[in-house]
Amino acid sequence: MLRVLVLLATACLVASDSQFCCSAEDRHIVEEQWDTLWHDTESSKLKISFGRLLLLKLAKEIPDVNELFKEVDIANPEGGKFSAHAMRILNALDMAINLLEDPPALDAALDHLADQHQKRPGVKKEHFKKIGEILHTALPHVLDDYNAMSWKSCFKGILSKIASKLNA
Amino acid sequence: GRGQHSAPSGSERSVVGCNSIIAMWYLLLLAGLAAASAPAPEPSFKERRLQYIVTNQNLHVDKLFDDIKSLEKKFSKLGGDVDLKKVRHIKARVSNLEGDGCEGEHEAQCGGDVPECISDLFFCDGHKDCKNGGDEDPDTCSEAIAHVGSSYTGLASWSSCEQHQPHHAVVVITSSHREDDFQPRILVKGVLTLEVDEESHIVKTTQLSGYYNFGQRELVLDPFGEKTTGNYGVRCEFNLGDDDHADCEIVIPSSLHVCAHFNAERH
Repeated sequence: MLRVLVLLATACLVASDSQFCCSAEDRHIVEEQWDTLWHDTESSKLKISFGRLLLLKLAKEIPDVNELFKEVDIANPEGGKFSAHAMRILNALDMAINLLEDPPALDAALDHLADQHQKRPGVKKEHFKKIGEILHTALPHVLDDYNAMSWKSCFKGILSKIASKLNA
Repeated sequence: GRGQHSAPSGSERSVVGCNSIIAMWYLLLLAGLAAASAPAPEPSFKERRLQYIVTNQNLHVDKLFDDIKSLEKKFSKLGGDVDLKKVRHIKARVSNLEGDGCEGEHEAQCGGDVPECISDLFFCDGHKDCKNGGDEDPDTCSEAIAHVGSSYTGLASWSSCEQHQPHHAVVVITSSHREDDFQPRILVKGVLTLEVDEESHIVKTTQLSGYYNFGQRELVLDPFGEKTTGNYGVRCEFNLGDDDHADCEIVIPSSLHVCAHFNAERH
């Protein structure tokens, strides 16, 4: 088992030409498993509640975050303002996942997201690390099939790329 | 009284007539003189009539010629014959869909009117094993596919293994060798080139070695050597009825898992 893990780790190191260790198969798996959530017409309801849970959980774990989301009215999470924001974040996540097949476009989109987060003083890299942890505990609850290895390897790249322009 | 009166008027008329006839003769004479002064003699009326008929017939033929031309134009607008290559490809595709009806994995179809399957180890070995001799047919046993320098190019689309956008893939045969005492295969070496990124000229190459199988019309190449950057094998099936087109797959050699696919054409 250890040998397999070492092999996987070296395989990721060797694959240096792709920007992060998230192979073609990983990308297919992530897209397929993510897709199973969106078969209903009321997908926005699901997106809002999932995004809301994600952000509130983050705010609970790192209380400083409450200040950052003041503008979108985090004090009133059921309100329209915060719901719209939850939707925005989930849609960005959706876009990133759907762009996994097109690395140059994904790179540009993530770069744009990095710019948008750079403009918000107070946003830190550790916040994104926490968001990653929350996602990986939350997703297995909503996805019947969840390949943790694939999701982690792809989301590590996505989140660190979004956080790449932050100072702290 | 009437007769007397009419006589002078008649003579008067004849005098006028005489005058005009004389003038005409003069004119004719002048014309004759003019003609006589020209170098060539005026052709006779008979000759001119003949000439007239000949000219007319020529004009008639010209008109027929024009009519035929316009008919031909009309006919050519009805569309041309079907390209023979196209017919060959369609026939090959239909027979691919029909299947060859051979049960064993290593059996191949003899071809011809009566279906017969024999082992692909019996193809092109110099001995007729098919009842119709199809296994020694010169077309079946053409070595052209494995000729050194042959290259097969196509646009590879990846369905797994790599996250590449569609790009060109080239297989070049670099050496080929057929053992005298084992003819049903040609041993082949080659290079697989993946033109991954044309802008930055990133090219991945893999040294290949394998064989060409006459019975299955299949080129099977595995990676070999230590200086390879990729580790993909290639399988090309020349199933379009000629030696110039193949259905190729880029595979993982151990599992034959298909990573990419390209329709190869000889260049």
